[in-house]
Amino acid sequence: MNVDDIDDVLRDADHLPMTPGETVEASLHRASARPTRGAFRRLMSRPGPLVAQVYLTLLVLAAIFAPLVVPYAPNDPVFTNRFADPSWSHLLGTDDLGRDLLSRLIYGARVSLSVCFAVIAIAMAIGLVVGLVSGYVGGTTDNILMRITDGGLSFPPLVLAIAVAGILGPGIGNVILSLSIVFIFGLTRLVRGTTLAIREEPFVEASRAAGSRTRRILAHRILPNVRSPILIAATFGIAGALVAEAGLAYLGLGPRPPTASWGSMLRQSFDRALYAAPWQLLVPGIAIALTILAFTVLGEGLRDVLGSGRTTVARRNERRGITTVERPAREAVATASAPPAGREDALVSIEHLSVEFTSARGPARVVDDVSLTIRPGETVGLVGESGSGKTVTSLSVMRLVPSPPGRIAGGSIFFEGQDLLSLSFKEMRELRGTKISMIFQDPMTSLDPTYTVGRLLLEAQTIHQKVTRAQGGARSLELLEMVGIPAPEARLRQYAHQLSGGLRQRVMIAIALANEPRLLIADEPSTALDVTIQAQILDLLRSLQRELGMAVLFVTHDLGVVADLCDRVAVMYAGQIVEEGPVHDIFERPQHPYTEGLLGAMPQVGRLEARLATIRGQVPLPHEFPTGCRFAARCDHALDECTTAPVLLTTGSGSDSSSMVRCVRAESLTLRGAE
Amino acid sequence: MTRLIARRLLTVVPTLLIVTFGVFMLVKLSPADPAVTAAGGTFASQEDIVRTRKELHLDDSLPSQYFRWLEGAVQGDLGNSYTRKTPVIDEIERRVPVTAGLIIAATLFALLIAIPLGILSGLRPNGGVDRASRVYASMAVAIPSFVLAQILVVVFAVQLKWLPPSGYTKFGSSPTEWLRFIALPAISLGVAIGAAVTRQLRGALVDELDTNHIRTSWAIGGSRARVVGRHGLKNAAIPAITIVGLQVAALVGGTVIVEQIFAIPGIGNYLLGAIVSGDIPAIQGCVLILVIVALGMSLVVDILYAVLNPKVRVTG
Repeated sequence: MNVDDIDDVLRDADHLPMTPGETVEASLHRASARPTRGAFRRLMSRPGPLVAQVYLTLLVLAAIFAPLVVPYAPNDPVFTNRFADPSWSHLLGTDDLGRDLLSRLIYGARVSLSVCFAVIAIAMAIGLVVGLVSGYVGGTTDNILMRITDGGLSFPPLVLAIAVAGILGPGIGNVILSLSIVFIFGLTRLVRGTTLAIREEPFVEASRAAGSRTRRILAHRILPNVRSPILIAATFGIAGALVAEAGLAYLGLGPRPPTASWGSMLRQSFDRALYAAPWQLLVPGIAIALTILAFTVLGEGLRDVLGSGRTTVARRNERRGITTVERPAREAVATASAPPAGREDALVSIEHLSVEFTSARGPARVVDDVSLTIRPGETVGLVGESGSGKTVTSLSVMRLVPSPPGRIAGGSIFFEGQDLLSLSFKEMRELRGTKISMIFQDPMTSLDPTYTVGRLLLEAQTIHQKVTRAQGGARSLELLEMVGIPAPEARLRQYAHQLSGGLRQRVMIAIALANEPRLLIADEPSTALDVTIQAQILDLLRSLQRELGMAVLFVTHDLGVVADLCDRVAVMYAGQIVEEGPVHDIFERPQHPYTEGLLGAMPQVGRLEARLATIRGQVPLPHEFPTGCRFAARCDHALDECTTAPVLLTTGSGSDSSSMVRCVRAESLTLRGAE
Repeated sequence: MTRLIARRLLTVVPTLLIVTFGVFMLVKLSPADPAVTAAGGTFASQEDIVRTRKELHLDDSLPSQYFRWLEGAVQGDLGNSYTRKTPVIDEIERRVPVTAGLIIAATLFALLIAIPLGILSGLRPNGGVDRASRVYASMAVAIPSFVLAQILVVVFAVQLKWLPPSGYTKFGSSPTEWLRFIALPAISLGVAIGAAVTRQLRGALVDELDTNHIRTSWAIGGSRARVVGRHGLKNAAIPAITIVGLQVAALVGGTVIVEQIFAIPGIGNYLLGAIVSGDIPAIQGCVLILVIVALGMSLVVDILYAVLNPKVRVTG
């Protein structure tokens, strides 16, 4: 048994068509996404489903050929040999009437399995027709059919089966009838939901528009797509039917004796062998459990290969709220003590920071030897495309890169002279939200939805200081006013989902500023917002920065924002800083072709060309970083020498001595800046 | 909030109408003539049968029979038992607390397992506890409650003799005795719920701890206890509670069998007795009550969901 699958079985327990729920439909109709061709081969290449399939095949064969394989007649009593222990002549022993248990078990499988298959076949046939019609025709028909289905689904499944079977009386036919009724509702709902979803797909719309007949659309367009979810539901359904059948038989509502099913064998051994030979309970018990397990594993496997829903469950990791640091030993000794000369006055100095992510293809160095300083009160921009490593760099300062898969593999980050990378969680936590704060890209999801704005603001204060409710409330109001939120009293009582994106980001800023941090890290704080709101948020940040005198690390892909807000800027590409310097210098005389490209791609008022330039190609993946210049493949100025050896970051020729560039041709190229 | 509850209650009405019709129609499945059963079975005289049929309005049209029955049911009259001639509702009233006690005990047992196990598994995905709880969940899925019940009886009642194999005492007369009788049935039913809730809670917590708002909680300097407890768990509880509700509703069917195994005089026990004697009003009454219990559970879940989830509460 593949225990890894159990979560999906349980969390999607509504795959058993006995249980209602829209989620079934939602997760199952996706099954149509992948072709069914070769699905069986893919299924059998997995160990769990393979074992289950082999077991079930043997079981079904034994049941079909029961008269040929059983050693004894199942219902012939031998009173001289009651409760025999397992032996070579009776592999599983004999029951209270001296009947061979193995023979009865195999004949019982015959009954149990044929009931299950019959039930699912009947329920499927009806469910398919009703569901297809209901889903495709829609309107009143659908409404009435679904009301009835809802009613049927609100019966606890076993209760309905017991009542129907009980009134009809024992017998295999009645069991099949009563269980079919139970399963019809779930399957109908499933087919209807899938049909409904597929009906809206473009290819069905196209068929309809082309004038295909309804019956043709149902048979050739919809049915093939409903097949996969139905197959999956049927497999889980058989497991459910097996439980229900055994339950009915246990209650005496199964086949008439002496014919046995697994459920009635269970009841018999409980009634008659409980004290004489209690282990006999295990014979039908284990058979039932193994068979349920086999069908469940098979259903699970089917769902994976037919591509419905989560096929690959992401490997999740423990979350301890701090990034692991695994620096080479000598480096820790060399740099952990203090920031290097010339940078003592910096508020933050990131020194040779490297961050790696473990992945299926080995460690990927997404931030490589990045150094950056921020002086008190300074606003520094960190610019780059997606995948350049700018966000990871900024999260590293907070030690918020999720570990695993991320870990800091080298370097130091000094904040007020202290190496953040050598701090414990507790020490780090005391800095977070007090001296260093952070706001994030996605205000829609960055606030806990279950607390009011007031509670969240209060929490930001009480974590770090003793505050009375009244003091905290007053301060919260003050903070909301500071970030320009109108009617702050009302906002305090609201939840995140009641606020617009812009307001949420203002609340986020208020939370970040609650304890007057010295450094604010803003990771694309306006990217997710509307253009007009973006400008407001940026204005707010600029005025708050001036007012409070804090330093800001502004992470963005938008050079226009940098020009607006920042004193200095560092441009990152493929995990490295490629150019750094005062904003003015970089805009006027970029020294790296990538910076030139970014500037060219920036819309500017008054530019003559009608077209924006683009940089061809994409940022390479961390595994594919070349040895030489990482930008060479996309660079118009690249020469052979660019690709031979790693390119170092050197002092550039800008007016400021702090400007740096990583390009072998920096001296010789004259690049175009922004006007 | 009240509006939400009221609206939810209103949506139950059409479902209940269909359900009651279904319950009523159960009679018509009966291969035996109900009038014969009600008149005393095979020994009843022809006159008795004719009189009974008239008394029970069995010759009326189907809709008028249904509305007569529904009218009674709404007023708490589920008819008289064919066999005992006493009102079915009295018997049901006596037995509801027994079944409710069993369901509550099973749910509590499940939560007792699921909450710590789910949290520990969620905090350390793929750790020792997580692996163990995964094995437990696999077994719980495969072993039906009545099979587990039997194994428990063999081990704890027959072999170890720690607990009685069957029987029942009222909670009111002796809580400890009640617990001794209810323990094995509650465990047999609770193990499966516990497994489902454990894994749901674990999954929800793991997902939750990777969300953006949890990152915010770390970023403002929250301690591990605060981030996990006040933010992670509160959010993870929302999907977990839904599963508890679904599972408990599904468990209602299981109680019928488990009550039978342990000879607990609850609704399920009454239902089976009624089935054996063909006592149709009793069957209808029991099924109706069990459906209402299951519907009630989903209602409670919806309300709890709203309490925990401000999105639903405020806009609802």
